[in-house]
Amino acid sequence: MSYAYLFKYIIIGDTGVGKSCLLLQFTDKRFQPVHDLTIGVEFGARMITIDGKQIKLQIWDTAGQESFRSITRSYYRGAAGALLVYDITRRDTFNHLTTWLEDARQHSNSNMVIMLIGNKSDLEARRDVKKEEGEAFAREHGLIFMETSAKTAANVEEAFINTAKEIYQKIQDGVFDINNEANGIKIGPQHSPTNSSMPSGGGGSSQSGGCC
Amino acid sequence: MAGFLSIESREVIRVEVKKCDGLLQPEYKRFSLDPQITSFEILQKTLTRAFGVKSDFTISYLAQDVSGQDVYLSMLSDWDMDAAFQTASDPCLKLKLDLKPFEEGLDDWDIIAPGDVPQYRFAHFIDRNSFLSSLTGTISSHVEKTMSTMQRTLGLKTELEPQYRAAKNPMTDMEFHNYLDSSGHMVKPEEFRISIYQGGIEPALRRVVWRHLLNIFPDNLSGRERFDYMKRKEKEYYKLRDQWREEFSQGTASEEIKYVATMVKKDVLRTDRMHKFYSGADDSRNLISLFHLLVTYSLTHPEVSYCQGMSDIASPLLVIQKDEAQAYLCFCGVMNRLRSNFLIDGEAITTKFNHLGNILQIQDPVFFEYLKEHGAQDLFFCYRWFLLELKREFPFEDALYMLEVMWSTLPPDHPELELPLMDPEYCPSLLSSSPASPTFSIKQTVYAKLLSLRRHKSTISKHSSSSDDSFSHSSSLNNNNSNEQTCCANEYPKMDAPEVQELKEKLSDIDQSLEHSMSEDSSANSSADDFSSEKCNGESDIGSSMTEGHTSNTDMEDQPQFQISLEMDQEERMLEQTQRCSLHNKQISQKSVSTPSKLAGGSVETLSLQKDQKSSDSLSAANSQSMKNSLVPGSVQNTQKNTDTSQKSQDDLHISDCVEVSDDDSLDLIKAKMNTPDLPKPHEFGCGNPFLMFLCLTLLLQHREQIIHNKLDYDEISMLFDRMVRKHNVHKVLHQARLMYSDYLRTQQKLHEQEMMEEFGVSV
Repeated sequence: MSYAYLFKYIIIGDTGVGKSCLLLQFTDKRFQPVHDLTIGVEFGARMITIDGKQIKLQIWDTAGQESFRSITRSYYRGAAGALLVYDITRRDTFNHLTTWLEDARQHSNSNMVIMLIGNKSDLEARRDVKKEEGEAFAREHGLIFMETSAKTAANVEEAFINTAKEIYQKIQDGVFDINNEANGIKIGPQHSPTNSSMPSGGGGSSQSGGCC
Repeated sequence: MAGFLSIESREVIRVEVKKCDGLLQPEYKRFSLDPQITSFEILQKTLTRAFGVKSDFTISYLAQDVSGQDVYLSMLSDWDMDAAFQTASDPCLKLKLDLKPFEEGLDDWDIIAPGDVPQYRFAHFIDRNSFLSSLTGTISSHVEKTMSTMQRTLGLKTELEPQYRAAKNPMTDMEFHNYLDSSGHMVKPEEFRISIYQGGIEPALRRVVWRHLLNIFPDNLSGRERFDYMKRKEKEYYKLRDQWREEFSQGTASEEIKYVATMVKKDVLRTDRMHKFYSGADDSRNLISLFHLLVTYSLTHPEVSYCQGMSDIASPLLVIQKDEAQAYLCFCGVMNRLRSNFLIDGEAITTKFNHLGNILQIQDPVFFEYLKEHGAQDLFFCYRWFLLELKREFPFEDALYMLEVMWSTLPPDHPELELPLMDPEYCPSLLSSSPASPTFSIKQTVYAKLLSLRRHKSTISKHSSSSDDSFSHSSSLNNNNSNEQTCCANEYPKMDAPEVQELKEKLSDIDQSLEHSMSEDSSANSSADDFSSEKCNGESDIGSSMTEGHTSNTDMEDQPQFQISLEMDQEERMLEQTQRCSLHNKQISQKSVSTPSKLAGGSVETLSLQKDQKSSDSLSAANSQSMKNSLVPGSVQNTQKNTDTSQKSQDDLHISDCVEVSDDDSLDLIKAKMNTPDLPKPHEFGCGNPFLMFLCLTLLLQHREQIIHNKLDYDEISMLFDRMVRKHNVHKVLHQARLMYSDYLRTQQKLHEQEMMEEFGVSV
């Protein structure tokens, strides 16, 4: 499957905020509450269209509690976008955002687009973090913000796609050097005549349940 | 003769089988077999697999007696089977398979006091012995073909490619008892492990055998002693567990306990939920047991506390043990070895990455170079393999087999006196949130872990409590351990009031049922008994628990006594042990490695590898010690432990290599060449688990073509292996890993011999 660009995303945030569920909702359009807890990192991929261009999102879904420090750096390596997730029903997950953000800023390239996500918006009755608080945090730290529900799929598409739009815009603005893969952006096969034989689909796309 | 001729000309006999299991609805299966190549043994095996039979059974066939009446005749041998083929197979041979409740309670064989079994049972079980051992005979490739043909006929999944079949059938009860003496002492620990290495363990037997593999027993206990030991340790566990549960139910638990409980709960609810055992409601008993087990461990081991991944380690232990306390003991046994995987310093994991990189570079420099070019030589995509010791890389049932094979390669590591169920620094008074109690060091672990991680702390402050008798004082709630106060509490965010409030509110299903069950069984461990008797897995043969089956004498008399068949008189036994020990000592004193190679058919080779000693001083110390104790089996290992408990520098490793039933060299094996001396020694390699390294190496090599051919980059390689979660072929992987492992051991042995020669300058 050919694409114009491939963007690498990373999903981060405390354990149990719904990172894997968000990913599954986005790639497979289903909600599966019982899901293996993530050890290390898991992957998902999906094709989206922005400005008439096919863009492949390659998403790294990380563990919320990682005891092996050195490995997290490799997750951030070359990520163009990050979804920083907290759970609106658990204030502690909101309180930990600062450390997550520090972590992300430290290990990623400075242009990485970060989307702050308050997940589980369907659980309004148990809400513990006001929407305004999320917005304020995002404003303060220069992030995009959305509340989502992996369960009802509310805003899930938008969260992933808006992040991609932001990245795309940065490419248009020349902020991202698309020839440097360390920025988390790869040019699709048909756009790079030099390596047209690259079997990008060989391992990359076949695993993505329901992508393309 | 006409009958014989007609049979021989027949290519196929149709068979209809009816399986009867007590009052259960009979099951039917139909298949065809080739009378030319089917032996009675094959037929038994086929039926075993076709119906998934885990216990003993008898076969009979429908024939007509002289008066023309239908009658079932028993089929006990090839002779009977031939007779059946000739006389009763037209148009269809009707077989009846009767299950016997043979295995019931047997999994706890080792706790039965011997000697009070009527003699007649003896002969009875001898018969069984021959019956069962006939099932464990060698399999010719011819038989294999028949098996697979028949399996296909039966519509069974032919999951084993014949060339990857293990050299041996899984260990059975009968076989297991060969490794014990009449009173249940483990007398042949090497053979015991070698057998498991070669073929694993029958599922019904895992419950008992895993306890041995996981080093929960001190060395040299009799069956009776093991029983008493287990009882005592179970009580000890329940006491530990109930300490924090009481705080919970009284609402006096510290925030830290609640925090651990919340984290554990989250993970328990998403651990192996696809497995039948855990597929119940969120507050079902098995999930609660896993929750209890993990919280208890985390609280009583403040240095490790709770880390993601631990639920994956504990889950199969509980599935097999089916009892919370027993699973806890096994978990402690596993964690003794694995806890370093979960420490924040990351040293153990880093070492494993390095070692795997080293061996890959040696084994397959081309592939390694490829990974290097793509910046993937860090091998980080193998992280889960290390953390969970490959538990998630295979389908659940296959993972059990892989785990036991891997455990069997590890040298025995018995607890010196008893298996400790808690860290020395644990102090129950710290569980309480009462104002008088000091800050629990959990704060420095759980929070430290989550937060200091992100702040690049490479170490975790260890808080050693001086209260080493912590277990005995449960009422000391206002015990002031001043040294616990020294913790740097302000480095971590305070659990402010809203958070505490929030946590209280969020204690959902598990916590409620926890409190509920607390009031239900305030008297220690009654819940454990009925828990273990629950037939959680549909395996009725494992249902009976240790506690149930053996507390009453009448029950005990009903238990089959296998070890009696192995009985020899005391003198003989002493003699044998003496011989064993003196042999052992001889090995050590000469610092030599014995290699009893039985290479006759090139099929089985036994390697006996004495691990290297770091200094000749410690060696001679151990040596003289072991000479003194030469009448006590296993004294060598004990001495070693005494000499140096932290570094197991002189572990005794006896591993047999089986070149498996495979005569084709068309396997996509990279020819093993472990002949470079660069690899670490067995007790260092893979942090003391070299076989894990070879398993990981195998997984890498089995995908190298795919990776190189498709020119996968770093991300794609990571995704490839992520996709393989629970999908690797256990037989193929074990087969290849065993081959490489044996090469490695052989090389290590040669190196060792060379070192000996150099050190002493003489040849023996």
